[in-house]
Amino acid sequence: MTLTRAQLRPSDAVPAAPAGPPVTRARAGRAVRTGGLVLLAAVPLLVLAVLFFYPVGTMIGRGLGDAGAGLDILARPRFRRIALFTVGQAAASAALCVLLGLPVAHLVYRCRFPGRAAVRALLTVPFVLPTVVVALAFRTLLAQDGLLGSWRLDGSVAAVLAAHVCLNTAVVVRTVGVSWARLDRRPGDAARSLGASPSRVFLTVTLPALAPAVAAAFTLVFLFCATSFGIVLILGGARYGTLETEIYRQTEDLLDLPAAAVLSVVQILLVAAVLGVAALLRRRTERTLTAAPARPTGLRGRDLPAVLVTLVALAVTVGPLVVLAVRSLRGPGGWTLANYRALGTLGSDVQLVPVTTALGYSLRAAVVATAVALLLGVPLAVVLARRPRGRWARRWIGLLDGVAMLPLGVSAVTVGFGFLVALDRPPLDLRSSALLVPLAQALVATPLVVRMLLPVLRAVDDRLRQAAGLLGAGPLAVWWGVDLPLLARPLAGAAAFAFAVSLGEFGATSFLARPQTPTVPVLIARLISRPGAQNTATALAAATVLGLLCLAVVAAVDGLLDARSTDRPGAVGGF
Amino acid sequence: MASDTSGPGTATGPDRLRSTGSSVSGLVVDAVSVRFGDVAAVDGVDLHVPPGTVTALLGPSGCGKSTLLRAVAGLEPLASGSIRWNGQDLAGIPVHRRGTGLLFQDGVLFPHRTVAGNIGYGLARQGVRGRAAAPRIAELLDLVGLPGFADRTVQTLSGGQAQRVALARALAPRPAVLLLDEPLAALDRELRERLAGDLRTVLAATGTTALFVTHDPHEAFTVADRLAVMDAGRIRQSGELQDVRRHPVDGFVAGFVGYPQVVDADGFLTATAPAWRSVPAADRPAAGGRLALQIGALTEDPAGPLAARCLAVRPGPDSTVLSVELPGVGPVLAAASAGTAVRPGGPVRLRLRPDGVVALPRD
Repeated sequence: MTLTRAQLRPSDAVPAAPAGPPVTRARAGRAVRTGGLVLLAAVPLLVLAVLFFYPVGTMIGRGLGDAGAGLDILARPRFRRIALFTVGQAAASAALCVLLGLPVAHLVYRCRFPGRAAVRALLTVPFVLPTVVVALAFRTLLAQDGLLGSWRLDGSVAAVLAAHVCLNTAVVVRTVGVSWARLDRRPGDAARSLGASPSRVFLTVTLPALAPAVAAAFTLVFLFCATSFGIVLILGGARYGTLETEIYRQTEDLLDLPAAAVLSVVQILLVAAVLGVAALLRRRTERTLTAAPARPTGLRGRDLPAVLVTLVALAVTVGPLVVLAVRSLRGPGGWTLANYRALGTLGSDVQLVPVTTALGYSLRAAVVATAVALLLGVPLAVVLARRPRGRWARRWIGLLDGVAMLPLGVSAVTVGFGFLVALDRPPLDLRSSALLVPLAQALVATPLVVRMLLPVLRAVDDRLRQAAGLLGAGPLAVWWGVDLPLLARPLAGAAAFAFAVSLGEFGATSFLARPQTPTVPVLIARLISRPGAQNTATALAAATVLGLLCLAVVAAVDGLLDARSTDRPGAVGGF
Repeated sequence: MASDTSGPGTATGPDRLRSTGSSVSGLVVDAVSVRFGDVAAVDGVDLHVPPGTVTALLGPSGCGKSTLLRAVAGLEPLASGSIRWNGQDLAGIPVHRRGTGLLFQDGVLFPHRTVAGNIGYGLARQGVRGRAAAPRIAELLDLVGLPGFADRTVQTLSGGQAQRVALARALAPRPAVLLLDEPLAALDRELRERLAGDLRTVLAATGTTALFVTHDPHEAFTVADRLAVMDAGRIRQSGELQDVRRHPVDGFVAGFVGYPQVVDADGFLTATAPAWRSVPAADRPAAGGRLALQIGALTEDPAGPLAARCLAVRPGPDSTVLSVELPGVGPVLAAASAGTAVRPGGPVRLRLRPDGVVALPRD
């Protein structure tokens, strides 16, 4: 009888295995496995080092040559105003998203009603849209001649907050909703039987249980809003600016590199702090809660407030987009397709190329960016999903997690400008390379890919892997036979989402795209920055096309309209 | 449908109370059904839990016993029927005003509260907070055998301790009815047996009216005064513990109360005729029906009056179970001492224990 290798492999359960060859072999096997994981992480890290840390570091280093000047910049009243506005509007946006998102999460994850899947899908729509499209939608709605022009909100803080709520409510709904749906119903039952009214149960049992998810969603939305660029640039007008738009203004308009560098450092510190908090909270939410989740119930009378809030949320998220699409079909003489016909022409003096040509550039860049983001993101996610026993290994993984997430929060504008100042001489002269834009977009999309795949990989029951191992599968065979099949769908979803994000990327691209090869978001921003009804009309049509394209890609690949898709980990918006 | 226990003396059987009016004290479950979509998880159940007594609801997994419990708590809406406490219909009374305590399989303590915070939760809902609640919390901790645990966090408790705290928490507001949903199933066997005894003591000491869901007959017999055996959403039989045990209405109930095998009466009585001679005729089971047997109804005894052939030997830690071929009956189980010399294929002498045999009513 021959013994297989798996049978010979000593396990923890047999500590008294005879010393000698088997132990050595096990140690060697472990070393090979560790080495493989390190290698797996090293390649993306190297790319991140060259494409992210080097340019950003160069930019910051160049700006911070003089520390005294840096402090002077921080002492400027304008800086204080901008920093306060950045944090204040992000906190307000995140708070609004939570206030709006909690009742909606209850309704679409804890109740059962016809059209529930459609409501979930509709709420998620803005999240996959380019910020430029959403910003333009709100501007169209709130402009003087817009549907809500009489509210006089154009260029106000309220407009910025509304657009942020539109973009990010889905994050709260999903993060909190999934937790809520999996929440053990029995502590609530116990509290009820101990005399707590439903509202008391919500306050003393449900909310504390949901707190990690709520806090995680809050920090995520805060992060998105604190680094928001397109929305603030287009809706904030001249009066309001965040660190991000200010970095753009200082570099692009005022050429004050030291000021931009100081602002970048401040923003990186802010983001790192928020990410640290988020990582702590995530550790608490990702454990499996499922013990006895409640069945969704039918709608009852006391769900009425939640229904009303959901209607408001739908109005805020979908309403402006509908207005955008409708307005793109309007001309001076009523309904018309003229705006769409203008996409193929050089209709305006600010355009160097027709929108259709820019669309070609956009698509090409997005395809390359998606491929790069997957090549970087998948190995990173595989390594990060490991839960080693050793304290140091765990710390390394925690550190790697932070490093991999950093591009998510570092100003896209900083990345873009860093590319320009750092990657401009041999051996890395990418300035005139067609890869410049896709690489920057890939940097923005990679953390999102990691975030979408991680929960799926971590949710794989480790006993499945152990079972495969006991049946004789080596580490690679386990990955191929267990992880990959479970990952296939989320991987497709992550690819689609990375594509949509790249297609809509605005911050870095606005720096890097040359005037004669603009992407569509850059072209839209240029069109609406100039007066003229024709410019606006063309921008509306271009934004509608861009938005529909992003939606179509995500819907086709991820099954956005598939009711099940919003339940599984790794669905769009689930990081 | 459930049939009456034909017990001599007391009229046990399904507690059919519609006819007896609404003034019956204790908990009355009256023709209750609970549906999930098209499936009736609980299907026309009648049950009576007299005040101060413990009724065990015994049945296999998925028979609807937990759903019935949740319905009593008000956590599942009734498709039909009514639930009354001391004559008052509980329909429309929300969960938190019913005064029903609930104990789960694994405690389900609030993780963000201390032991005292958990036990005090229900007291706070009654307006008893802080200092005022401390004596009651201490009293309950004494009762469940955990004095001095008040300030512990729930994460530091063992499974058995957590379950004791959960019991204290459920008892703190002095619930009218305590509902226990397999409260011992998650514990290991030794702890389970000890805790079952403690549970009995605590429930008796507090005079608590309780409905106790379990799939384990041993637990049911340790903790309860009364028994209801449930299957597929219906109550097969209910009544005083010993009545159900002595007079199971069918093989299913008999299996749950310690009679795991059912045999044809005529063949068995013929094969065991020598053993019945010393039993008064009135106590002999009637011919022509079916009999349910405990494993110990037949015991191995070299001097026994019955001859059989041993088919298999299943040793256990403190007794051995034999499968024996009794002429004209077929294979039945018999008990033997742990060190029995009987071997498979060999002859075996058996003795009959008449009280290990019950006659099942004819269908």
